[in-house]
Amino acid sequence: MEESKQFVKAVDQFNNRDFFSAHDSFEEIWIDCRTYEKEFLQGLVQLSVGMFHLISGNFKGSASQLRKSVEKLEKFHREFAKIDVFYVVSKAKTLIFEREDFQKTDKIKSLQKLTTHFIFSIKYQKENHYGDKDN
Amino acid sequence: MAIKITEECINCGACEPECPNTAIYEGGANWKFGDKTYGEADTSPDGNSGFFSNDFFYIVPDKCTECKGFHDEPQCAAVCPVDCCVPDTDRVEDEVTLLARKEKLDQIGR
Repeated sequence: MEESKQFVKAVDQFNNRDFFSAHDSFEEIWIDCRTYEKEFLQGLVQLSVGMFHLISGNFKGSASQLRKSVEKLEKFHREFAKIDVFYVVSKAKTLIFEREDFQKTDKIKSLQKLTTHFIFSIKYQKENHYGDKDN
Repeated sequence: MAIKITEECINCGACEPECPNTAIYEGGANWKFGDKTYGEADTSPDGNSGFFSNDFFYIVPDKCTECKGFHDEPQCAAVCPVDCCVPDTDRVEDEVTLLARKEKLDQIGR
């Protein structure tokens, strides 16, 4: 899964902040997946959708998706499918809780400030089976 | 109870073709019941309102049977990648009611 072109493409789309396309790409793999990895993929779909809703100003939808994403991703190892899951989950949790706090205290008034503060990347280890870095 | 689509929807459209009752419509689109067409401001024949959405796919409660009589589980929820097709707690209905709705839809059309 993690070495498929589609998976790498999805991660790149996420890291390029093209969250809608990332959700689409992860979803394509998720649909056909018949293993335990299906839940992990859905977690990444929901992470992407959560970020898409965030930059679109749909805060309620964003928070719900990020919570569902965290619930799924947390079931997997700290590093899974070459992804630093611990980092992703930590960032998503921070986003959920701090965003709520910021909204309550009105510290961040503009969407631009909010998204700039909270956007993060998926750390993906681009290595082949022999430990060499891919180009 | 009927199923509703929350604001988490990403508008992927995966749910729409799965509904055996054609109860799901794209945001902003008019909906049909029998031989009539309804819009945003209309109250449904069963007296439901507030379900229409301009932003996301939405489900018409009058046409939702939770897939009773067709499948073991609501198909919209089964295919939704973001888990945003959820039971509408404001519209709780028992199985007898849902099956009666299916019968009605069988007769008047979907």
